Amino acid sequence: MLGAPRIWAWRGIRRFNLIVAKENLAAQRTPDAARAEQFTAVANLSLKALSGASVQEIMETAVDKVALLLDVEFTKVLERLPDGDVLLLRAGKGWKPQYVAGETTVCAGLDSQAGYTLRQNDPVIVADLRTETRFSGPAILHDHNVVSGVSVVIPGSKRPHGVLGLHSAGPRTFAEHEIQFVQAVANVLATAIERSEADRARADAFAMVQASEERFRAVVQNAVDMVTIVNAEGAIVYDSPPVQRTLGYDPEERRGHNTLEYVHPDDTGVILESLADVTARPGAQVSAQARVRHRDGHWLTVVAAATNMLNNEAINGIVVNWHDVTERVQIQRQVEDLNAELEKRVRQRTAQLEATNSELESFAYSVSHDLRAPLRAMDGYARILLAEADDELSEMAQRYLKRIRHNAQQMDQLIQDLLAFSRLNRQELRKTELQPERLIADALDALEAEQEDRSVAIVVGDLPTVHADPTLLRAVCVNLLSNALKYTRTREPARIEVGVLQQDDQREGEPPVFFVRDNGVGFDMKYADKLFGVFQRLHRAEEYEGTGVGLATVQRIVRRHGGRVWAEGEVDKGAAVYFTLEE
Amino acid sequence: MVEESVEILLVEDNPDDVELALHALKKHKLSNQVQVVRDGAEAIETIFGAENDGEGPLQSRPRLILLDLKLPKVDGLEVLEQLKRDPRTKKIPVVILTSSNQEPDLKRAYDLGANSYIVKPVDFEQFVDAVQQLGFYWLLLNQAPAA
Repeated sequence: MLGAPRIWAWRGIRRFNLIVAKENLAAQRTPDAARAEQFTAVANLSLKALSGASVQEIMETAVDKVALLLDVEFTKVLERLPDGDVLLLRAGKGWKPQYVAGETTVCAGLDSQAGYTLRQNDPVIVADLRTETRFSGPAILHDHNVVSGVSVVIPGSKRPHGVLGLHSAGPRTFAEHEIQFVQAVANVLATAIERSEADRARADAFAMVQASEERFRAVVQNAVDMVTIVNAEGAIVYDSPPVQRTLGYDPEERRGHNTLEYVHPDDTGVILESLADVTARPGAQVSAQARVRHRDGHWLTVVAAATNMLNNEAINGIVVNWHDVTERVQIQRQVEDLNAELEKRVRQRTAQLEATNSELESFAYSVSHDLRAPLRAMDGYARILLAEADDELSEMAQRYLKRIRHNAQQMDQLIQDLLAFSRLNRQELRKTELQPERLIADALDALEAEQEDRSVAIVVGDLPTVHADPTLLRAVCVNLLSNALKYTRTREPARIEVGVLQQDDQREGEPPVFFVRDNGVGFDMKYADKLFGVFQRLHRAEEYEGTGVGLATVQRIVRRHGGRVWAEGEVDKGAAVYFTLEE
Repeated sequence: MVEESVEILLVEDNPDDVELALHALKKHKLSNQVQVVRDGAEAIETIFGAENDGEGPLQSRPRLILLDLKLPKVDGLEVLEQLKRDPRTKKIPVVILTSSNQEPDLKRAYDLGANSYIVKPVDFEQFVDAVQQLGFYWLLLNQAPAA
């Protein structure tokens, strides 16, 4: 890329003697001989570069040769540093000792000759620095009273690597072949620099590969997992060191042996199958569990994952990653045994419970038949006597017969209530979406007799839909309303409220609290815990009839739905029963 | 023939229940048309004879059977099943005597073809209800003084 050299006329007479001397030196050689020398120098420099000499050596040779052959006092190679602002003196000839190669820097600004050169395609020739208008020239040139010179770019594939410069303290003209020679030297330097950079990149890459291989080796050798490579026939090619730690075989011991030799006879089928499977499909991965023999003869359970890398030139085998799961398998087996034992026990308990349940069932059956039969007879005969022999019986006899009937009927009722109560636990829950209003209306219909000839205000609030067993929830309604009606008998007017508790602090998702409240005779809160017990009564039978099963029934039904029930009351002020139907 | 004289067959093992039932019927002069048997086996034998070969004339053909479910030897459900399975007897109305309308066996009895039920102890009002349900007015009409 050499264009026409620009030559500025030399003016001035400084250092005349020196200049004369130089012209004399140059004149000693014929132009052709000089060109031949220059050509040889470029060729030698190239050979030096090819023979593996360092870039520094080549640069030093270059500055020497250029100074010698072009007969100038100063030569230098400036390297463009990565940030581009500064050039570093890599090699120089003729400069004062304080300008140390490798340490001296030159500004790469436009005002310096080197900086200017970097931005040019062509060599920059200075006839007289003192009259130069393109740039001022850096301190190093002024310090040596440089007058003339040539700077060429050391080209680079991406950006210039630097500048090769030669300078003289005297006025000097440069012939075109001389400038071509300087550029040729710069080009050789460029090639050497790029070669060295490429070498460095290769070396870096190689170092990286080496490091990664070492890491891999370290992983394989120190891992808990064992790595074994087998060939397509199953013969072992490589065992990683963990094989010795786990199975006792040293790394060479198994080489060449077929992997099946170490597998438990009952498991060879699985391994053969897996091996055939993975061998058939390049790149495939197959896992298997098997028992393998430790060097001392005992068996270990291992899990292996085999990868077909037969097509991978570097490996040309099946890579098996495997590890010892003996302990895990043992624990798993224990867990399974425990589970089986637990299930067996659950089955036994269930069977026992079922037996107990069916015993209870038949007990309940006998009770309902056999226990009630004598009561029926007592009641039946008493009824007949009262109906047909009344004229033969004294008033007292008739009264006693009535008491006999009443007691027989009472006991019959007790037995029936108890049976119904015990049936509650065995009965299957059949939950559906229900409108409680309907159930309450049903219950009030069923309790019509209780309301006859009475003034009862029944207020039913807005009730949400519930998810409950209709038969059982109806029983809850009947029991609670029946109680409310019963214990408000003395009130005029009686008032019964059914509703859902409105709580200010009720959180989202909390179940609604239903209540049945009355203005009846109430109860003393100190007996509140007895209310829900079977056959627990707070009133004498003469006052309020009943068997004491109603609230116990309510509690059992509510609990079976997952809810809870509680009551509040005050003597003569009324009572309220609250319940939820879910947790 | 015997067949004509038996209008009602009462199958009941409890003597008190028998007595109370008979008393209810006797009050309305129905007791002389009632035959009482005390267990399931006896009921079967009374109707089908000692050797039931599944065909031929019946030993006895009551117009109505009052059947207790809990019976010695052959229980009420078995008797019911045999009666309803045999084409000769399946049309005889069977009224179940039960100690409770909550009885689980009652549902089973209906499944097998029972026609009605009476809760014990049997009083005449219940008996009239059952008979009316079945459309057996003649049983009652027989007793009407005018008839």
